[in-house]
Amino acid sequence: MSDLSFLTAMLCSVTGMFALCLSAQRHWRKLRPSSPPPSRGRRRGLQALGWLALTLAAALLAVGLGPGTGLTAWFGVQTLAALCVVFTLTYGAPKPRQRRTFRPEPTPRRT
Amino acid sequence: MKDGFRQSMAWLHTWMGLLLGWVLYFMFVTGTAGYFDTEIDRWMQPELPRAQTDVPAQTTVRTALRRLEEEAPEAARWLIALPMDRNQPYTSILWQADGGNQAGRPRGGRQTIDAITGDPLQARDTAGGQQLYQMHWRLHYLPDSLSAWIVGLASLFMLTAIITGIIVHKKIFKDFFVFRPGKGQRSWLDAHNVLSVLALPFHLMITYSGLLFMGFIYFPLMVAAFYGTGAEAERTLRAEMFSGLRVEASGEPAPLTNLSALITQAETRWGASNIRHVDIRYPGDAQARILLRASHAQTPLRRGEELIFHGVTGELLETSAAFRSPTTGMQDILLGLHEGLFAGPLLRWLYFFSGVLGTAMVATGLVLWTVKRRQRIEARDGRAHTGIVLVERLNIGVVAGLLVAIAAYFWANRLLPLEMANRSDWELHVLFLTWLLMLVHAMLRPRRHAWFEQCTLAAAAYALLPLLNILTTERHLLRSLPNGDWPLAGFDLTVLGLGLALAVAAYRLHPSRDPSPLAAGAAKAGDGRHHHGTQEAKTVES
Repeated sequence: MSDLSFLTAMLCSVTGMFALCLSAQRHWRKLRPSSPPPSRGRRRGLQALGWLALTLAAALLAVGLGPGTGLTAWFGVQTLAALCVVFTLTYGAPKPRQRRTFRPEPTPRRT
Repeated sequence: MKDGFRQSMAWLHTWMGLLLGWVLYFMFVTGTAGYFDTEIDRWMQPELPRAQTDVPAQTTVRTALRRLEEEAPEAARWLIALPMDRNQPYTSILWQADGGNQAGRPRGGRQTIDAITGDPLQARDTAGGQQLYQMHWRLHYLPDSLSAWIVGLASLFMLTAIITGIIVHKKIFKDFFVFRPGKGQRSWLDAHNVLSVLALPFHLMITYSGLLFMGFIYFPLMVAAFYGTGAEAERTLRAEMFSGLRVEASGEPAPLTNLSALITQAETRWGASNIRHVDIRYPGDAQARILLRASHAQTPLRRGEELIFHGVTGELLETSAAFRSPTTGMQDILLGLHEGLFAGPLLRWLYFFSGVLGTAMVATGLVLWTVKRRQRIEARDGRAHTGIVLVERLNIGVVAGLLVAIAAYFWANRLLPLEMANRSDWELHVLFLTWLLMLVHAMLRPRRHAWFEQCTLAAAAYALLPLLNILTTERHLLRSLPNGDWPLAGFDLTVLGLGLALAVAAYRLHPSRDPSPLAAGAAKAGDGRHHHGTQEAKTVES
């Protein structure tokens, strides 16, 4: 029971952290360079989704492990989830730098 | 004004972090290992059986009482610590000649016994995971009176560094997820930031609660103001803080009540395997008392409920709640959070993992200090100063050297002759001698070679431990894995993983690697790999 709530909370937190990460334009561009940056409304939506998922994780842990232990675990789970995002952002994102050397710079707007 | 404030905070952060950074690193490493103290104990005493937490409390208490009657029939106090969870894997018995209320060390003894046969458990003499963990605040060779103050000062500096760090960090939210590798100084700063910010709640909690542990030493006048000074005041304070059980012997003999009914009563109240202590005062006296203490590892509140029974009639006299008052409750929760005794396997790994992040935070901070300064100073003066060289060398000897030293401690456990006199002391001497050797090595070798060599040595020393275990004991991975003996298998797998991680670090630190991660890099140009930056790094490096 407690292991299950741990794992679902972990999944929720990773989802939430990715949503929060994608709600920032620069991170969106890095993780999804081929799709257009999200609109303001969409970014708000991602933020809301992110916080909702983190709250859900807290609730799952508090119910599964008891409030004291659950809340303590929540902080640890957040650290791990955020670190997953950092690693993806650093090493898992498509490499724009290499692509730039093969493609000409998109400069038509300037001319 | 705002910039001035931020600058002065940056100054405070830099220098307070550096001054006691090496002590903090030591505390983080040993404290992190301490989250697996009993598992390390088990590995270091491979002769011991598996944890006996499954034995019913009734059986354990019966065995322990029989043993205590044989061992110390006249004792004024018997205490049985029941195997409850990973924190207490075996049954311990303890006896004292006088009631335990007197000041000073009472005469008595202590044994760890088999919960079923009652025989004392036999295993090699080792300092174990406990001594490794206790270094975390005792600093081993120093007297407690001194180490308490050093550790306290280091914690205070740490707290200051955390708070000033938050102030100095300009983009704490914007750069929350950002790590840019391969850019020299920029990357070290990113790493330091990410490690600090992502585990900030842990760092704050662990530092603040760490200070509370020895609050009475740091604020002696607070005690003096309420309790007065002298031995009597100390006794009153201890009695009020720890246990409410105070009773005098009557001198009239009377048989001790049957404990079985009391155990049943406690188990109905607390659930099975939640009895931590059976504490008997004046067994065989008409005024005997039996105290049953519930587990202090059920929640972050590090205290269990206590039931006090009359030792002859078996009548329940008093119940002492786990939550005594908001003040003691607050202290019990903070200390409980620090030690994490309540953490099950997954949460324990999170604790360990947070500890690793804290260790890495201190290490990156120390390296950042040198990376930031070396290039600037060399550009100005044409060579590095003694100061920066000293910090660089100490960084190598402490950051990499301590890891080698702890590996040597485990090697000593397997290789020192079993019948050696003062064997456990020698295990610890091996740790500190190895560390000293590493510090000397770091002073003598060129900087990049020293980093590489010590990391390689640490990687090999950890990764080969499972192999050493196969060669020297019967409790190695090939047995522990098929048997599902997780404390033992977990140790071997963890050191193997640690060895591999250190091997990756050593590979990245190879002296011929260009640009070196230790170079300040060409952060200004925004591209760590471009040609000019590499040239620059090369000249600075040598």
